[in-house]
Amino acid sequence: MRDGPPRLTSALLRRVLPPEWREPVLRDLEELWAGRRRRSRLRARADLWYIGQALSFALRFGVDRLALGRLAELVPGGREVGRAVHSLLRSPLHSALVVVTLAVGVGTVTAMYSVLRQVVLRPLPVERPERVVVAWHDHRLRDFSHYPFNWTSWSAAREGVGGFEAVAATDSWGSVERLVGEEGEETILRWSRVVGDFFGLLGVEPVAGRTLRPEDDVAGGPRVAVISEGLWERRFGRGPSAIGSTLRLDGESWTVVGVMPHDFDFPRGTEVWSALHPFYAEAAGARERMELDLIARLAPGADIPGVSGALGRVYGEHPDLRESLAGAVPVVRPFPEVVLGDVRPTLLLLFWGSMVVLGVALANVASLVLVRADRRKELLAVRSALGAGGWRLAGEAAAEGLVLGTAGWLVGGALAAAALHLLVPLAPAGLPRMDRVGLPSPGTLLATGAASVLLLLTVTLVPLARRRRAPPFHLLRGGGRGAVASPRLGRHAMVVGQIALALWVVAAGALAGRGLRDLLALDPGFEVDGLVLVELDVPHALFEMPDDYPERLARVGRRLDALGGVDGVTPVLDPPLTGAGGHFYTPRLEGQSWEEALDENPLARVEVVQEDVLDVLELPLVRGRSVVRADDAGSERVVLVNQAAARAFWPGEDPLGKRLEAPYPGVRGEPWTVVGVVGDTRWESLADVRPAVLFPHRQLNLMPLRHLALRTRSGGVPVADAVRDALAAEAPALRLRGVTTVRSRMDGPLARPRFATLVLAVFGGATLLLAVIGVYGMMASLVASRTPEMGVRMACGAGPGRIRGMILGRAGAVAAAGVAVGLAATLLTAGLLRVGLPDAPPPDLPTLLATTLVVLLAALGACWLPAYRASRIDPVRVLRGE
Amino acid sequence: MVLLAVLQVSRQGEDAYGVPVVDELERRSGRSVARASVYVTLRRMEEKGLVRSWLEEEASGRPRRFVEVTPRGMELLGEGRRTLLTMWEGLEPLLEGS
Repeated sequence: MRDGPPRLTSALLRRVLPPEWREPVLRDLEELWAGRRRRSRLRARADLWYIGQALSFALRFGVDRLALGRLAELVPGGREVGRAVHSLLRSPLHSALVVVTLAVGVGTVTAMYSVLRQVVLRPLPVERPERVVVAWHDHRLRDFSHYPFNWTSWSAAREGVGGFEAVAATDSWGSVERLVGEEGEETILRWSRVVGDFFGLLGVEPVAGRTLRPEDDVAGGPRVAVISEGLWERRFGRGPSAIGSTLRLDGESWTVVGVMPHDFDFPRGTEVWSALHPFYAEAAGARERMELDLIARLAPGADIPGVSGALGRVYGEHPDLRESLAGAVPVVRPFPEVVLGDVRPTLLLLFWGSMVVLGVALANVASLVLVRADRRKELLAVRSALGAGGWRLAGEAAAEGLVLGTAGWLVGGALAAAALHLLVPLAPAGLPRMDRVGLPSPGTLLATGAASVLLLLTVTLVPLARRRRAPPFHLLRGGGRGAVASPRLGRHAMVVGQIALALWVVAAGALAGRGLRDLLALDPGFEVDGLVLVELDVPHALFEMPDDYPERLARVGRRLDALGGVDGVTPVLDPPLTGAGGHFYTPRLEGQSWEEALDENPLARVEVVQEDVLDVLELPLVRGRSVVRADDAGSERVVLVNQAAARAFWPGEDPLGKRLEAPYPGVRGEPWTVVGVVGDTRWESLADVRPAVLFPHRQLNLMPLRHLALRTRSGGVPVADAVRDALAAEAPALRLRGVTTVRSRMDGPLARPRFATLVLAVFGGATLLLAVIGVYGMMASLVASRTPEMGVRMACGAGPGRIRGMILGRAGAVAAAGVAVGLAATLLTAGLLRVGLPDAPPPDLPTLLATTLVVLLAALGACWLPAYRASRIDPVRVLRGE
Repeated sequence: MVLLAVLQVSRQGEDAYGVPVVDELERRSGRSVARASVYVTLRRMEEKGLVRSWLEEEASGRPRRFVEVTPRGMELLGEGRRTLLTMWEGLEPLLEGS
């Protein structure tokens, strides 16, 4: 058992003390520690005292060593500031609480404003962006909320809507990952295709070279592209050699003609923009396949409701569109809204939330400063009686305000910088413009600094101004008692509000955390671990799928299957967990017309499978049989459905033997018979299970299957080279794009709930800390203002326990009221929480109980020190003072 | 205050060093004192020539630093007392009446 004070503390103290005082100070402290150790049963009490003393010595000798005092003599007002520093160091708890409170408020606002400024308030690099609109359709009849324009509807809109000054378009699905470069050296770049005078319409200027022009958008025309500033920096080091260089895509060369500014990020994530028509030899071929989002600049005087109405009228009068777009509602959105997505309201909400946190922090700071002023009233009275002038005392108070405000601001700025540094890299990948969020700007820091200092100057000077009305001898007699009033209703209400706010935010954070835990615990319906996904690059020419494509893929699979550690390989159409971006369709059931089918049937996910699918994905076969190799183009058309599809399409009936139809070219009108039912999966999103129809690849060879799923024993099998070899041997037109594990793809859908939980945890911590300080401030003020009363009570026989109970009882009542308001608010805003946190469960009893317990314990913990101080009041001294 | 406390400890026939000086200050003022502030003040007063200090090795190992008030410190204390008494002249009835 060691004997002596904490060694590490002594060692640290030794480093700070000046040499001539080092040994004597350590000796005195060790002697005092030994005395305390003998008197106390708990060694920890003596150790804690020692650590506190060591900190105090380190701080004071540190300040003295920096010769701040002497430096202060040379600067105007420096002496007051130096004195303020020493005075504040004499009340380290109070000073630390003020600084921490201010820092939490200032830090939260600074961090949130920095994000808001970069993401929402920074202007878009587009000419008058509010006059630009992006349009698509809400086609309820076909169950599509984002139904694109085709060439006919786009041309009709361009020519028929007078409210459009200029019209262009992009691919409706935005930027797409494409494999660019010579064979063996390819990289994945996000490529967007545009139609018409896209850049001219937006009025965006290139940082080098030129933008794309309408004459570049010609079928069989020159293949030119512009690249993003990020790609220019990464690949060409911002050098002039970028212009005129070529990008190889699907065996074709595209010449780079310009570089777009960093801020221009539309469609989101784009690294290369090119025109759409040059992808095709003939315009007709291009126009057949177009799925576009229309982009237009509004003519002077035109507005969104006007052009939406005009679009509807144009479709109604158009012979080809009248039917196909019947029931489709044009969706016309302002460009800034499309670029920022749903981030704008969320960030604005968070910013105003941070302003509330700042407000609470400022109220607490004011309360803490007033408590200190009350404790020091006698000292000030003595100094005033000894001749210290009002201006001098005001100067000293102002210096204290300046020191506290500056310290709070500096710590707050550091907190904000640290929070941004840690949290921004964790933001989900889909959030726009987050890459530019960095440290707080000098302007932001200057504004928060000025506000902090101004506030502290105000709250330190106000009690002094009030006291000036009373003459010093009145104060000396004790007449100044109660300069700070006993906490009254308004103060109590404020603390109740703080506790309620803390409970609400902590509860929201706990619910978000539970939602995240539930997501992590969900059974996706297929075995995730050990599943490796190989992504293939299918050349553009292959969209007309060759008949032997299924067989070639199967042969590639068999070659990989022979590798050690691989237990099975199967091609899949859509990779798992892509959200809504997969293949869906509405099946027509036997006996239904297409209109009825579109009206009544939910969308079903389309999967195209080969015979190994159940083994590789470890999907359970619930009824019937699986797909076999003999299910080919020459045999009866069969499908598998999942349990959700069976329930949705044939409720209460046996799905085996039922028939459905698919609206695909070449197979339309032919019935497909259900031969098997497989287990439900959460393939496209963890959030829900959707109906799915699984077609045999050899019977439905219309879509390029771009992925191979490999069942491996460890998940870490190096397969890239083997895939390249297998492709070279069996399908030379295909190339390897990348290899990922399905486990790593789980991070995508978890990113948002994870980030929301993190942000709420930070906000919850901040509000809880402020509530604790609020309770402490209120109770400290109560004890300060009622010291004489408590002294009298103790003189009349009340023991320390009773006094402590009195304080704790008062604090308990306020905390209970706060908790009640917070619980009511949480329940009343359950709907709002559901919108903001779609993955979180509704408020439930265990979460609310746990949250309540945490908040109550924190609140009661906060009044321990005031209660302890109150129980140590010396009644004799108080009575003498009276 | 610290200077007076050093003087009080010395007057009681003890050698003055950090621990008894802090005890004396707390006993006479009736409030707790930040120990580190007293040590820093002693160091500063030595720099200003108001006290002088010396180390004394003891059998237990670590040295102790003792202090005493210098003639210059005594002079300053005397000046302070005179100023205070002059300032209080005629004010005592005010306090007694309270």
